[in-house]
Amino acid sequence: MTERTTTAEEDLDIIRRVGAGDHGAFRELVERYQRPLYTFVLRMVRRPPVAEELVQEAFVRAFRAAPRYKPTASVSTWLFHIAARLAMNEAALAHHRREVPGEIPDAPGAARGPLEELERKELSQTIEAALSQLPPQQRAAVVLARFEDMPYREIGKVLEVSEGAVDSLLQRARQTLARILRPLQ
Amino acid sequence: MKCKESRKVLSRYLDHELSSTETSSIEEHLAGCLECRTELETQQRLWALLGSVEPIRAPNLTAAVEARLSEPRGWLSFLAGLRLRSFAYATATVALVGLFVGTGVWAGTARHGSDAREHDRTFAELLSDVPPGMEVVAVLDQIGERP
Repeated sequence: MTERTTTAEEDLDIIRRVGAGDHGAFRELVERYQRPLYTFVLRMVRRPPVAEELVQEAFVRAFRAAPRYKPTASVSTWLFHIAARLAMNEAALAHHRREVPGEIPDAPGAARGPLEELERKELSQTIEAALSQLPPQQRAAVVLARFEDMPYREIGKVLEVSEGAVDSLLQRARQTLARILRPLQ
Repeated sequence: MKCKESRKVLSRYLDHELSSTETSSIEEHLAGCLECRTELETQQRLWALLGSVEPIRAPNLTAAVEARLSEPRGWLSFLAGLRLRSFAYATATVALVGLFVGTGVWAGTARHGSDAREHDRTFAELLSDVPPGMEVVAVLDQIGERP
């Protein structure tokens, strides 16, 4: 049995208990998924307070929808789907308001020299800024494929598009990113 | 496989989304095509570059989520749950809808009133030419209902 299958089965058990109103199971679900959901949402909205609020809202919605959960998609995909809808709406609103994307604070890394630290930080911020230039749907597809290792089928379910559309989103995103990041390659 | 087909599936090849037959086919093509191999390497470098972003510091949201869950539901919690900005949008929308509806009702009433006054005037003019005692017959004539 693979690790992924075990996790999926555990998730299914957790979500059934959440659906029955088990708050302990809900806490387990939050502990399990808050980090991947937060990093995904933050890369979409680029504002930590907004990302925190959207992730909280996604979990509350998941709790209320849990009794109606149908295992047509994995629990992970289902949660990302709820979070993606909220994040995409917010990203689209921010785009409409022409907001300047904020900087993403990174976690303290391994001990490095100050110069190396600065270089890494700059590189990281350049890449994050390049990602923020992608339209929300392309950005979501890249983040899910590259940082969450999500297969196209699952990405399609999260974004409510076909696998072919995911392929097309990723191809266009790769072309744009290659153009923006050419000096770094 | 030709270069054009190879470029179409390159992205899926990199993401391990091709079947074993498709994988063999593109690998066979890549082995003999320098141009497509260069494109593949460029895309591989790009994907590797994306991986060099620093990890994100994620806050612990468990307590905040649980607190939010224990908030009362209904209109009050709905309003409380909305951010100020969303609330402002909602208020503006309600005000606009109210304005449109109000303007529509006022215009409709005004038009109805002026139509009624015009109708009364026409009716009075019609009856002014009718000899006294013949008003009912004249009205029945007008609406085509005279027996």
